[in-house]
Amino acid sequence: MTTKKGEFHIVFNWIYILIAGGMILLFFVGIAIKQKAVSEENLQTEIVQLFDSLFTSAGVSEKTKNFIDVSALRDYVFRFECEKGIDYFGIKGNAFQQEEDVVPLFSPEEIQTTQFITWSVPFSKPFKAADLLLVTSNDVRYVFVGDDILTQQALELTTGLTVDSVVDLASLTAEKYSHTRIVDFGGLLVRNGVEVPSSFRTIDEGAISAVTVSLDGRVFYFFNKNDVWKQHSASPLLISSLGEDFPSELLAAFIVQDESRYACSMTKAYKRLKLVTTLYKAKVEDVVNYYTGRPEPTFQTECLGKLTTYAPNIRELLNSLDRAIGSCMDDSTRCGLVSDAAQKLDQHYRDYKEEGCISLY
Amino acid sequence: MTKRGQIHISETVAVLFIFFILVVFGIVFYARFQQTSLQHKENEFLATKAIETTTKVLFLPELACTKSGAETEDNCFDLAKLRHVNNLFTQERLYYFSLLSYATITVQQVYPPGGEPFVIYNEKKIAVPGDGTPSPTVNKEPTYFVVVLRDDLTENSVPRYYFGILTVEVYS
Repeated sequence: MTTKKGEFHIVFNWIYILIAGGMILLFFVGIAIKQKAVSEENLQTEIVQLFDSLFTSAGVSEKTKNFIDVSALRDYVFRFECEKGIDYFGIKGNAFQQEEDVVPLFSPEEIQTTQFITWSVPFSKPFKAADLLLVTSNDVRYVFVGDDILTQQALELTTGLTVDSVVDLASLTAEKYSHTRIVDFGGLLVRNGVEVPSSFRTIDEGAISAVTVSLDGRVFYFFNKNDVWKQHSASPLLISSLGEDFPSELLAAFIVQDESRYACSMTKAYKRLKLVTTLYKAKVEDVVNYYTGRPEPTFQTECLGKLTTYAPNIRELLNSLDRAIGSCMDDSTRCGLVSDAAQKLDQHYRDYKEEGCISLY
Repeated sequence: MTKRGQIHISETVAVLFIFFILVVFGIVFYARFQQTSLQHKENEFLATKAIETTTKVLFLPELACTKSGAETEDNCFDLAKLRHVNNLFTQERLYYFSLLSYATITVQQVYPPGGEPFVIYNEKKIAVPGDGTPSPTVNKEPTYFVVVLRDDLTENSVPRYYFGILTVEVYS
């Protein structure tokens, strides 16, 4: 038979066991929760690092589109930013961001998708200096407005992306895509203060944006503000050489969020161009020395002239290009000078090559 | 204290002793597992880095042969660029470090046999031990790739092509 003291002892023991057990249980539950959060963060960091590797390989696969299935990551929102000429990307809500300070990366601000599309396009002024890496998704719909040659070229180049082509915006419907970007060649239908297509008025303002391209290469960005188009910035992007070839910078301009993101990422392309130009200047001096050492009265005299003495000559034009890149890097509104300098150089290089001279690029 | 009480205390001490032994075993096992896993991850990271760096080097516009500007010739390096690229990489050390990180990159002409190899980039990772003397790191992963070397400086302006080996050693 148990005494009163014994009964109290048993009850106390049980209370003690319950409290101690509860605390131990809480401790392990706490560890498990913390571990889960850490694992989640590690997983997100690993995903971002994996994307960095994917972007590296995509960045060098010239003129290639890569379709990356990320169905398992459809809940994550990937965020892309650019600051002071450095691109950052990561998962929204996670502090870890991967830095990209060499490859110029162009993308919408946020991507949540089941399929990433990466596309590398060469940046040549006039020689290849970098690859522009365009990142978008199958969930972004591009609508090309126009029926001119530029529209046709854009349609051919963007095969694989979600692209529609229309001649007017009245028939445009808001479909299941997370974002619709209208690209108005000519800039006649999308203008400041004009109403956005009626089907987009009932949905989120951020679900639609527009880019207009004029024939002289001026690009403006428009966003939906209270169901009317609002021009993002008064000063346009200037993309020169809308001539025979479709400029890769224009493709980047379609994809990128807005003009400030474009200018930020392009800083890297111009920096690289400046470095590569230094090498071509050194190569020109090698070729000059080669010709100077062989002064036979053949086509070499003409080549040497075109390289160094004629006005203008390739050496001089390379220096002009170098200076133009310098001004562009100081002030992005002066980047049109780079295209002009590159065109002049290329023109003279063609004449030089016609003489059967040594290749420079 | 009764004999029963003494047995009870001895029992508790024994249980606690075994419990702590098990905990120590667990910690040791976990630490060893983590160490192996970390080493494995480091090796994996180094291998990935080696492949990534080699890929980047193969497509560097600073080295690649071009065909009329925009087009590049695959796995081909321009000899004229190779002669000068080391100067550029040295002058712009920080820029190229962020691209290529710790690595040594050399190109050797093998057919017809060339002279000294071109050391185009050399950023060895060094550990600084207690006495401050730098010592070379032990973890490195070399990769080799056959490339074509194009020489444009020819009498008839028709480029000549040679074979070469690109060696990329990355450090961790």
